[in-house]
Parts: sequence; structure tokens; C-alpha cells
Amino acid sequence: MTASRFRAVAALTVAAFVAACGSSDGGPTYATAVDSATAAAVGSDAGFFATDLASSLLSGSPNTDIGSLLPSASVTSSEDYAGKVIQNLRTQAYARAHQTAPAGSALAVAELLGTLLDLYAERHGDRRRQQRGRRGQ
Amino acid sequence: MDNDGIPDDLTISFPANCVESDSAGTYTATYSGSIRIRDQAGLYAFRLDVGNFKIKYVQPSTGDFEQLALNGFEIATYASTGISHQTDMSYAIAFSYSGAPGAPQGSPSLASAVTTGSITFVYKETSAYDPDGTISLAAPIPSGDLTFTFDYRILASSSSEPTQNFRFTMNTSTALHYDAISCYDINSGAVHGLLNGDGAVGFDITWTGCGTYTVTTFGTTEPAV
Repeated sequence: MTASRFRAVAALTVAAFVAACGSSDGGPTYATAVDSATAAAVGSDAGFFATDLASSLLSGSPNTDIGSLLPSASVTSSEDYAGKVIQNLRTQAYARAHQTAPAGSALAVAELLGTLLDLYAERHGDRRRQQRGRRGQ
Repeated sequence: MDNDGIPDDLTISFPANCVESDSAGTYTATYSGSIRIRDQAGLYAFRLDVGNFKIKYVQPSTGDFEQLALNGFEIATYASTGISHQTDMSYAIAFSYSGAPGAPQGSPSLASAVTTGSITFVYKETSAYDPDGTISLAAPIPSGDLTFTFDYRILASSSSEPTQNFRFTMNTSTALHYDAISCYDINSGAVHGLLNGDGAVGFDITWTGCGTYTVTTFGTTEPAV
């Protein structure tokens, strides 16, 4: 639950911004304009994130979207433990991109391109794609 | 281990040319970097360090690849007096595709123009929980106050587009009170969020009751009609 909700926050955040402006300090530049409906939607999902963060931290295990990197206590061998850690890191890396890790060693071609297109949607004026993405969360 | 499931000190590292492939030779996966997990003092506590951990998946027949690169740490401490949790991790995914197979619907021309790209997610969070009573392993965590800061950045670039960056930050402007007696949710407190990191555009969330909150926005710009 936590992960899916937070990914929704991230996706909406991605969808929230319009074209980036320049930075005078040479550092990263960030988008500048957000419409009220999008800001409200992000705020609402951010509320879910806060709620989930609280419930996850207080469930007796730091099994939050943030802290889901460690395996469960039921893993007994070091080899299994190491394998689970690697699996969790891989899963979270793809989850950050709002995608499910592909099975085995397969590539997530369409999924990652989709994430990039979502990032570029405002730049290309493709609001329909954003709206589809929001409804799909 | 001390029966909390966390290794005392476990380092996972990969030798040079640590490559595995599927039986058909369709893909290879190359691992590098290191991961270290350490038990820490507390009822339940750990530290995870990820040092330039990479997995590179390659399709030899086409040369297509995806590479995951992770760096950072996560620290969690459950003590009788409170809980703290901190994450500072970057997740970078770089890829190169020939012909953009399986291009998604929506903007096929743009998708087909992408041959290389990268998306980096920088995820920073610091949380603290101040319980009304004492935390023990034998009982549910009591009601208390949660505070956190959160900073999320996305850096994206590709062969068809200039780099674009996105940032989302939020923090508790008033501690969130978690009721562990009857509500089992947040029932008061407030969060302040910024959508571009410069303080001008964002939202405020105020909890008005058990699991109920209102959102107000500021600094927004309505699109031209």
C-alpha cells in the first residue's frame, strides 16, 4: 500500500510541472509553474504518504516504502539474505521509475520509455497522456 | 545475529567481471559495487550502506542494455524513547535501446527517437517519532508525535530531449499526532509541501480529525485558455 501510494505521489509530482527554467548557479534547474488542480492532487496524495509513513513506522517494523530494503526476519541464511537485499534494491529502483521490475534479466524497455514520456509530456503539450497517467494510479 | 533478523555486519561485494546469464544466452547481468548491513544499538536498529551498487542487463544480440546504479544509506533506530529513520538514496537507471522496441502508446514518434536515456531519483527522508510512553518489543507502539522532512528529485535526460529536473519537498510544520488508542491514524498536525523547491509553489495539509485532512494550495499558475 505504501509503495503504490507513494508512487502515485511521485507520478503526480512528475506530471505537475511545466517547462524548466534556467539556474544561475550552474546547478540543476527545476520546473517552475504548477496549476492549482495539480497542486491540490499532489497535496492530497502527500497526505496519504504521511499517513502511510506513520502507520508503517509504527507497525513495529520499518517496512515503509522508504525502508523496505531489508528482508524479513524469517530469512535465515546469509546467502538468502544477500539475495533478498539485492532483489529489494532492484525492485525499488524500478519502483522509483513508477514501474514494476521486469522478470529475470529482461529489459523494461516500454515501461522506462513510458516514464520518460511522462516526464516530457508537459514539454510536448501532451496533457492527455498525463491525465491518463493520473487516472491509472 | 541477535535474533532481530539483522546481521551483525554483512557486506555483499562483487568481484570484477561478476556476470551471470540465462541458459539461452539471451541476457547477461553484470554486478558491481557493495552493500553493507549492520546491526545497531537499540531495540531494533540497522544501518544499510549502498556503495555504487550496479546491475547492468545486456541483450547481447542487440546491444540493448539497462543499468541500475544505487548509492546511499538507510538508518533506522527503534529505541524505548523513540523512533528515528533516515534515507538518502539515489537510484539511477540508464538505458540504450535500438529501435525502441515496444514503444508505448501516446507519443510513438518521440519514443522511437529515444535511443539512450537516464532517469535518476534522489530520495531523502528523515523521520522522528516521539511516543507518549515507552516503546518496548512486547507491546504496540504508543501514541505520539511524528515529524519528518522529505526531499525527492528526479533528473531525466535522453538522446531526444535536454535534461529536465523535478523536485518535491515537504516537512511537518506541526508535528503529526498519531493516535494508537482508538483512531490508529493521524488526528492532528500539518504538513507543508513545495512543488519546485523555491518556496513559492506548493500546498499545506492540515489534519482536522482521525485520518481526515484538508489541502490548501499556494503560488499556483493556471494555464492559459
